Amino acid sequence: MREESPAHHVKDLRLHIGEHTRIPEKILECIPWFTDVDMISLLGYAVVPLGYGGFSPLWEPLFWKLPMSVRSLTVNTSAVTLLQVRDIMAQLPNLDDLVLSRLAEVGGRKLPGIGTVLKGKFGGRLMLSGECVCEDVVNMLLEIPSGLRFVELDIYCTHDPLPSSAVRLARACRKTLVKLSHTVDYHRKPYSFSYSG
Amino acid sequence: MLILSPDVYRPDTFERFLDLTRFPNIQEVAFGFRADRKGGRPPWIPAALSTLGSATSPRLSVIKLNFTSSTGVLAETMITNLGNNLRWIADEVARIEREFEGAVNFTVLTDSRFEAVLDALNVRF
Repeated sequence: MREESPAHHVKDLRLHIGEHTRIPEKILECIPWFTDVDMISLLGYAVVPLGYGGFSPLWEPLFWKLPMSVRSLTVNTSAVTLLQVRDIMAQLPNLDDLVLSRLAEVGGRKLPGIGTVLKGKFGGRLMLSGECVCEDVVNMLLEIPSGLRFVELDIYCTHDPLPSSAVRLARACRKTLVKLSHTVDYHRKPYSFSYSG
Repeated sequence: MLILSPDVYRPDTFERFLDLTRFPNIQEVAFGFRADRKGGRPPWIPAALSTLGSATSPRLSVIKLNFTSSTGVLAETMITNLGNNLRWIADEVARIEREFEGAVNFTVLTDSRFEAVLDALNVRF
């Protein structure tokens, strides 16, 4: 069955995980078939917030057999935590582009040192928006042992005009950065989605 | 009569100051600002623009500014909060155009609501 699969032609894999309380195992088993995929996106708003019985399937071992070909990761879902994103990124040694638009929030929990296991290239585009422009995300990226070489940095703030974390991130890429975009939206309030993790 | 309060940018720490003299390969800079009813304060934009120079950013070729407003109400607080910052931005745009001798392509996007703010302040880019 695997040999007959056209999965190796797929370059862009999008998982709408937010709407489901459980990802069928059959789907998880198929993910390693996508041997040449370039981009993976995790999308969807969590109906059942993590911590209330939802989304434990993301931790099942099968999910973690991600293809090493992935160069671009997009996360726009409240169904995964930053720690889970880190674990996904840790499987992707060729990761160049990273887009973090939405994450599950674990209130008040600091995560020092989580970036030290990451080995991606990080030489493409980094986009952070909303509450993803935060200390934990930036610290994770700054902790990457091989450093950051992003050529494009796109930051969209909704609560702090120029967070010091954003400045630190830009400075970390200063030698390679070609395009810098920084937007502040005073009108759009960050969505409130928090729980005790 | 509009009374504009002084709004000189004083970065509280160096960490909050985007110093673009340290980005030797920068080619494109885009800053966006969406004001709300109170206006908001964008001093980080002209402060960052003030660090762009032909000697330190030799590859700079594009600057994009995008100003929009969520409200058409020209509240006094909005005008006050935006006023000096927008004038400072306009001054920096003019300086960069002179210093780079036309080598930098400026794009300034605004919506009709923000145009009304610029008109009230008599600021032109």
